[in-house]
Amino acid sequence: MIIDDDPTNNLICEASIKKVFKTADVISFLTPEDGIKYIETVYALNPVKTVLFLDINMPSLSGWEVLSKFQALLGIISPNILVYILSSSIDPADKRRADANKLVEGYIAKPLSKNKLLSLFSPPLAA
Amino acid sequence: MNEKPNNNAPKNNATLPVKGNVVDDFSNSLIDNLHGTFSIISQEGVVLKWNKNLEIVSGYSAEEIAVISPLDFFDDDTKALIAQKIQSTFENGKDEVEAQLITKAGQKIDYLYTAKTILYKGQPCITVIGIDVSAKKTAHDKLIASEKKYRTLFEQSNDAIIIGDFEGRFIDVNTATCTMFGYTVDELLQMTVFDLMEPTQAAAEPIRFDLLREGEQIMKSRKMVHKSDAIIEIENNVKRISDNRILAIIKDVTAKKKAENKLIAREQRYNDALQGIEAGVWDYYDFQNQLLHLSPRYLQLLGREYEDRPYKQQEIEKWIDADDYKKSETAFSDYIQNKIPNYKIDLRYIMPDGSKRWFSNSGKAAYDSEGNLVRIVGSIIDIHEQKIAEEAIRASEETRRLIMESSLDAVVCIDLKGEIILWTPQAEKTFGWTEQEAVGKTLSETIIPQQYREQHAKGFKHYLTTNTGPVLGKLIEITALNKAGHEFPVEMSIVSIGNGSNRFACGFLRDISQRKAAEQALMASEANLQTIFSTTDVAYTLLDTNFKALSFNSEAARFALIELNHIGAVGDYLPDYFSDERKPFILSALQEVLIGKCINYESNYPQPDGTINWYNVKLYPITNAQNIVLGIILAITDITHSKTIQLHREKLASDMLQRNKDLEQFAYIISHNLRAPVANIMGFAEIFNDDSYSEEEKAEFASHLSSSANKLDEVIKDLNHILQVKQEVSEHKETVSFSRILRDIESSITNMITNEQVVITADFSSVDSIETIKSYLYSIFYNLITNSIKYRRPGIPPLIEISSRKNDNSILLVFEDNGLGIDLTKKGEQVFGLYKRFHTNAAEGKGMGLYMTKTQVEAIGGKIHISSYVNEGTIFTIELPL
Repeated sequence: MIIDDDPTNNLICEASIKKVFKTADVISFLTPEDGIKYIETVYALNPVKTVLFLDINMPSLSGWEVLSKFQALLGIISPNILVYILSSSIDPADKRRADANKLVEGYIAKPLSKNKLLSLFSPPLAA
Repeated sequence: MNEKPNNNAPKNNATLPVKGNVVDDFSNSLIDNLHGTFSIISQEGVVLKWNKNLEIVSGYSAEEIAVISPLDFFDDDTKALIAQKIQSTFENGKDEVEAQLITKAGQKIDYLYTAKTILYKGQPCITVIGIDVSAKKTAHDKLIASEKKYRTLFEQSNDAIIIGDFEGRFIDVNTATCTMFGYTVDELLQMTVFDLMEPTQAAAEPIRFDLLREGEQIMKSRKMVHKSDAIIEIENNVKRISDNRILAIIKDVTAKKKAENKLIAREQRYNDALQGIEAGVWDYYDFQNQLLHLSPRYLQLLGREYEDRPYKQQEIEKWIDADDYKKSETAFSDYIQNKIPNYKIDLRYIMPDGSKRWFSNSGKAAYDSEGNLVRIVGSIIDIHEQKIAEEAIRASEETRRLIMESSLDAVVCIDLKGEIILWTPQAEKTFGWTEQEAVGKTLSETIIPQQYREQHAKGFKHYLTTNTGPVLGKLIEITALNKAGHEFPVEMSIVSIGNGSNRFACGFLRDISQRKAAEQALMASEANLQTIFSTTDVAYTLLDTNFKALSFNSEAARFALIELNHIGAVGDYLPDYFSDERKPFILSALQEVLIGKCINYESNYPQPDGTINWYNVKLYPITNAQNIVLGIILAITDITHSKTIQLHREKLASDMLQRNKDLEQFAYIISHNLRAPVANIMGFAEIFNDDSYSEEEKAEFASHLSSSANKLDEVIKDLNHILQVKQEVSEHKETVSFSRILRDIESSITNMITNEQVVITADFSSVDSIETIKSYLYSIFYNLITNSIKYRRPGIPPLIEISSRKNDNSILLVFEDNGLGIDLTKKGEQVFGLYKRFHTNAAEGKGMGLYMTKTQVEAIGGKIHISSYVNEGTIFTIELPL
């Protein structure tokens, strides 16, 4: 699952993920509101193991704000969703902030690449 | 102390005292504690400075005193004298005058003014010290009145009246005494009572000075000797009137005695005898039936008709005051029973008109050859005038004693020999000598210092011969000596009491060491203050508790003129000097000072040349020893130089801080916005290098690659633009018309306006132009207008209302639209942030517009505010400095 307002990034992500995990289902949201609504409604009915790539710098809600909204959805998210921050920022402050958040599994600087996916998810998650 | 500066004095000489100065506090407190009034008067006749007492005594407020003439304290008849005295003080260095101060309420108070020249604030002035002499004056007047009354009674009495001492010396005698004994006054004053007494009787029945001393009144018949050696029969009434004075009233009863004696001797012919004498005779001849014979003269004296018949005792009783009758009865029965040698008593007889009159009643018993009492014969004589005179004299003596003893001044009287005859308790206090020590000594032996003794002797001799003297009736300042040998200044006035050889001189003296010290301290402190205030570069203003200027120095006058555009004047209400904006602050500060606080703040005054003058302002209270606030000192120091340096430093620091923030902002932009397209390009690069992607897939990504590259270029251009704005603040300013700019923008976006059915209304009627950087203002208008169009509400034609308004120091520009609005509760802080976007779907924005607008508004010195509600619209308010 990808939440990022930058469609180009989402395009790259989808391509990379498909290359590494050929069977994975990839779903992208350009606004965080849509992403949250999906998790609350559709995903909650059938919560399969999922990796979420969450951008920080978005117009309506920042990645951090999305994380705080997730607090209300812990029952769905904690057991099922691994949240990764995927940001163009290489600012160490952003990485530290991500590491401090219990919901966040890790911090990835864009672009998402095959190698990065392999080093994080080996053995393959959805194999 | 209150003060006003002299408006006529050259400005650069105007000074004012600092209340914090210890010396000044000291002298001011001395002056304020003076019992008298104190003032400094300029040659132009302006009261420059005065003590609190002047306000209290005169009833005029400080404001009033500051504007009235010194002559206004006097009535029209006195003004010329005062003016002449002021003039004379300026000419001769000092002068004095006794005059009545007229208070504001019209009350008259006797004041003695002593004036001296002084150099005050660089101009010749006079100090005037006024001492309330009304108490003294009243005492003098009373004394003189009492003296006059006493003299009159004394001289008009037919009885001899003698004031003497316990040694029998005569101190004062009246004309009747001279007549009675045949001597002149001067002869009598050299004699004693013993010289007049018949020697045999004087030896047998000496005068009972011991009884007199105890306060007993002695009435006695005596034989005295006339100058011609003839024997005079007298009856005297002698009493002590003060500790060392005796009053004797003597009546010549030779004729009466003769008559009485004749009666006793020649009983048969008493009726004849009765006719001829002055006295009214009574003859108690029938004790059984209580019958008396009364002479026609007796009844005449009592104002009653004579009837040739015996009178009943009860009848006569009714003619006598009841109390006196009782005393008479007692005396009579005592006499009959031989308890007292004489029957003699003063009685009040009731006259037919009801008034009472004093008579002296005396009688003698006649016995037959066997020693039986056969009758009592006596006489009454009218002593009414004498009795009244006696009472008056006693009262007068008492008054004199009270006046002298209660006087705040030391009272010292000397007789014609120069010997002290009166020395009051206050004199004891002042000079150290007790009354016992001082009485009988001369002034030179006691209180006149060595160097003045000769002068005193000369003056006294002059007084003895002429009864006048340069010091009589004036208040003079001299040096006196106390018992310990210490010299000190005293203020003295002398009156001559009595006349001829009966006179004596009384001095009223007051120790004025303290006042002198105060005067000297003032002189010294004034001199110090002159130096301090003509050299200080602090602007000082002295305010009264109503915040009115009492005084200020030249620096203060300069400050008022340059920064407040006022020509400083005494009496001005200080808060009126300030603009309406500053006034409330000044007032509240002054109020704080009134309750004893010190206030310190910095204040700035922009100058026409664009620079700013800075001042440190201190306000502190002037309090007296009781911590009561008497006034306020306003001290203003020019700190422009140090402040400029300080502000420059602060600006550097704040600039650096801003730079740091900008750098942080840039770091953020670089990490997020600049790196985003870079990251995408890197992602594509990886894909292109990855052989697992097919050529078809790679070709699809290529188009995205170029859009990412364009985006990167855009961000770099934006950054460049921002950096330019920040650097271009020095771009030249010009007059820019709002309506003109709006027209230009409307024509450049005609298509957009037409397509979106935009309505723009503008109202620049209140102000249409501003001095600013045109390109920025254009950009600000452009961004706000296009923003309103971009974020319009779907389906509603955008309405943009623009208006301008002028405030005191700024112009307000208001842009109001009916668009989507922004939820400020959520996004308030970020509205103007770089690359902050709020409308995901309205797309076009990249988060630059408002950031740029804010940057540009700030670059031309303005501020921008936003208020907005979702689905209602947004209002931007821009405040630009004039």
